[in-house]
Amino acid sequence: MTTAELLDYANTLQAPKLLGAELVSASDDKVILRSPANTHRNDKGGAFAGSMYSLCGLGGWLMCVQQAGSPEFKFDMLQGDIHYLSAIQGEIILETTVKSPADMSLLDAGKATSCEVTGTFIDNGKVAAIFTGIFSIGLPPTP
Amino acid sequence: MMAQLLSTSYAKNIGVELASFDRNQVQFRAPLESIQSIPGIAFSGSIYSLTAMCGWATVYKALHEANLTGPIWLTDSSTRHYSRITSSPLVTCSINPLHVEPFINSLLRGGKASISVVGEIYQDKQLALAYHGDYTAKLVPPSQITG
Repeated sequence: MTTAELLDYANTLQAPKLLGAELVSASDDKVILRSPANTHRNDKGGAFAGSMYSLCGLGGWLMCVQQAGSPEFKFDMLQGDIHYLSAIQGEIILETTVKSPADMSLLDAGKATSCEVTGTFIDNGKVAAIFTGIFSIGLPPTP
Repeated sequence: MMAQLLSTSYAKNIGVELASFDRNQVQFRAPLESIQSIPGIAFSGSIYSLTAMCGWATVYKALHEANLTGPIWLTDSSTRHYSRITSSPLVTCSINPLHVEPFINSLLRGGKASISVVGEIYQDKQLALAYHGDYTAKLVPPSQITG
């Protein structure tokens, strides 16, 4: 998918609207998402952990769509581990990259595959949290 | 404070409710309609948010029962999504009762301590989500408590 196609697809999803998130840029192996500072803060004024994980879910999802080349497949998050290093006080920026790409030959053979991604939150030039997630990519549901 | 947590914009947006609480266990629920991304399927991020808040409430409750107060942070979490959640989720978070006293003692001694919370969501009697979160609390001395 081209960046423009992925952007169009991202705009159709409900999750970015709930998170106030936007897709900043996308390539074959990286997507960057941004969420404004005033969206979903915790009781200490920092970014809410749940919103950060949600952004990771969205980043991983888009990365899998990019890997599969189409949003028509069935995507599910299987696993997500996140290590919070420091509170994010400003805008939330997440860079998601592919750690282990999906084996597309499995999909071609009618089987499910998976894709492992890494997400890095940057705040004031420092890494504020690190995410690792595994997503499954299955065949599209039959009508 | 629990009411304060449930009145945060996010909790209100997704309609989080306190379903029940016991000594070392808290249950939160949210309507599927407010957390779905694809119609009929809950968004994994919203499910996590519900669980992380429930975990926070479980640690808050342990502090409250020891007559202590202070900020609580989630520092690490590990989540396994075993199946798609297609009905309004009920999350149960709990602390191992054997870990509460060392946690409180550690907090009183050093002013800061961590404790693990385990969370689960069942759907049709099958485990749909397993969560492990490490939370850190910092003690606020009684002289600094306002309000």
